Amino acid sequence: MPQLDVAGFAGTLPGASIEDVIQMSCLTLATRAIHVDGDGGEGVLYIGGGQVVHAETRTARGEAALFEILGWRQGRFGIDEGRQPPEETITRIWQSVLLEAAHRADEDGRPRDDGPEGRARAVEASRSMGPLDGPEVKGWVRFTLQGERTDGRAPDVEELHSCAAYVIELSQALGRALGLEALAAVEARGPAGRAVCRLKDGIAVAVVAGPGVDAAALAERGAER
Amino acid sequence: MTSAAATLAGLRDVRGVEGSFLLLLPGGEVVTRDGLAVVTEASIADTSRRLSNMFQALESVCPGADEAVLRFEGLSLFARKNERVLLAVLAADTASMPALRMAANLVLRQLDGADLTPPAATEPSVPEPAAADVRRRFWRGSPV
Repeated sequence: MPQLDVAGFAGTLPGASIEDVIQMSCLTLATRAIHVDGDGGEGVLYIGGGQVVHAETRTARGEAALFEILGWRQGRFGIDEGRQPPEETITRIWQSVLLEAAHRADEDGRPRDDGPEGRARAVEASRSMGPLDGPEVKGWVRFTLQGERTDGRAPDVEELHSCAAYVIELSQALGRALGLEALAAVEARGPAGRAVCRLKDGIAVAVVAGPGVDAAALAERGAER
Repeated sequence: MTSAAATLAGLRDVRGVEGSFLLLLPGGEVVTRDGLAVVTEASIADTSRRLSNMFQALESVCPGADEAVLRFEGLSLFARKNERVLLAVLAADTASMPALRMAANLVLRQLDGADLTPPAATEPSVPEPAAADVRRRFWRGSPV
């Protein structure tokens, strides 16, 4: 496992947690290794293209190592900018992993360095995270079949909402003409990506994602929230 | 049976395919159809127009989209288009989508360069079903 002898920045950030460093790295779509020398041991996290893709400690690899590192209360870290991960052992989106870490910390009842306020902030922030907030999703919108938008995120969320609502109306009219009922989903794909609109219990979730992304699964999970 | 219709019939080699139809873009005129005996010409024409509109609408969120799948209970409508035509296939939701995708690609390739003049609108190529048949429904891929 690489030691805390790195080419980039190294030091401590009083008041910041390792979650903050991960979040900052992911939001800036960084590729880097973050070496951590903590009170529980030494470890290294690899961020690739804005996702946590690998972690190692002396005793664990993958998500187990990541959760071990996130459980350390204090320490120092160093950033090795541009370092590519040696392998990919973590496939979940980073928000999901941090959310689980926050839940684990709550279940442990263990006080963190950032104190109750920081923990409350993390939990509050995690509430807005979901499968649709990953960087592979270009945009999404959730709305009722009556047309009321409940939430969403997209460069032009109104455009996405309008398009999805129109496609649903067309599909339902088309289904009626062919004697088909109970529209469940509309999926489209092209060279630039995929768009999926999933209907469930009077709610529609439309997701636009890049090529190769299982947008149908994301929309399915989004509809279950 | 025209050559285009014969080409479409090959889609039924994929298990679960109920029938298909081919339309010209951008107007959505129906060129030919295969199977779907209980579906009226008017319904096919409406479906064609709506599919054409759907792909135009999808362009704003999924540029260059050339495939769409509309999933209904028991049945799916698979649509694939190129610059010239749009192929729509009605299939049971148990049909293999990769196999259907490949079969659709082959059909579009085989039709490349073919004369696809829509038939005259006076006489429908398939007899209109009785009024009771128009309301027939599918359940799990089979007419009920």
